[in-house]
Amino acid sequence: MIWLPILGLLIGAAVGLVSNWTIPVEYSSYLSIAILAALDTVFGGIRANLEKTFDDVVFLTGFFTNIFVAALLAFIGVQLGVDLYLAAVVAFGVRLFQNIAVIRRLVVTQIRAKRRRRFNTTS
Amino acid sequence: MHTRAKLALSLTAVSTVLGLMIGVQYRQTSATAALGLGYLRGTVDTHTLTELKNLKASNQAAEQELTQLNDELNQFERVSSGSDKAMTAFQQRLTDERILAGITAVEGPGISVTLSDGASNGSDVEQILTHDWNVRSVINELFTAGAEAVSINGYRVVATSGVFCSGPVVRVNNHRLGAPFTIEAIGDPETLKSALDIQGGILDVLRMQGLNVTVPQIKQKIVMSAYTGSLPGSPTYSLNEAIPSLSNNGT
Repeated sequence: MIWLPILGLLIGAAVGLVSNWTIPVEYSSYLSIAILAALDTVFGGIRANLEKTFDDVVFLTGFFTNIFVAALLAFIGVQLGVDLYLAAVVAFGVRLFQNIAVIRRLVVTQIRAKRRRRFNTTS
Repeated sequence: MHTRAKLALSLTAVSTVLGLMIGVQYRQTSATAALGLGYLRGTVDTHTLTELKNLKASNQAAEQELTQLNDELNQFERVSSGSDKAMTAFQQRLTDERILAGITAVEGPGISVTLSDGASNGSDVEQILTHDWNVRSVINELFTAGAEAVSINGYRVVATSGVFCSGPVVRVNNHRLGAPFTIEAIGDPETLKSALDIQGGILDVLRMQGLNVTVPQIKQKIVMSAYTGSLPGSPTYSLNEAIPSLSNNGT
């Protein structure tokens, strides 16, 4: 079950690399910020799962909304001459690191709890 | 279990989209780099490097050709050393070709004519100046009439010489010359003189234009130096080196 998302990631990357899809250079920054938003959402989903608060509807809507809003924010920033793009980069970047940190802690506590249980049962 | 399946499915969908975006972006970034938009400096370096490589290759090819030609020349000499008659014929032809190519100094009978700017009499100044095409047409006339060697103000005209206006001067073999232009030609003096003097000929045209053109003078002895530029395809130094080796073998 756990390899399915990884397989999906690889398939998506392969399709993206092989296909003849190109986006105009001026929209390239929107795509990069969308990637950042998507990464943030994926790690947020993993974290939610570990915290046992995962909701698939929230996750999916969050994913697409985040991508869309990030691109929109960048677009508005370009129109206004304000680098809102940077705001999105910073916000998503900070959250990304936070999520990864939380995931690490949760995993560590889980492993410790498991070991303690095993220790308790064996003794 | 139910939530786990949901998690796996939604995560799969999301990561597929994420992978797709990453793939497209990666390809785009590498394409931009290849176009030289992102890393302009590196591309220029690569271009220069390729150019250098090509130049080196062509240089090497030219050197090889030179060696081959020199070998051929030596072979000819060896063959001709057997019979004196063939040797003399070859030598004669070589000398003739060298004179026509302009790579040796020559002397002999010929004619001399001088073109200079006319005096302005209120008419268009452009008309009375000596232009490159004026000089060029006289030279062409002389060569057509059978001149073996032609020079402008002492600079030998060869097959690759250009006569061009550049600003106030005329460039001949990359030397800047100003009026008056003394054009000398070695050949049959009578033929050359009549070729220039013919009624309605080139000198008449130039005189009508307003230039000062002297009457062509027959000279019994004109000394003309060799062409001193580099000739494309055959570096002059190699030819000069070839000459002594030829005469050494001949004697």
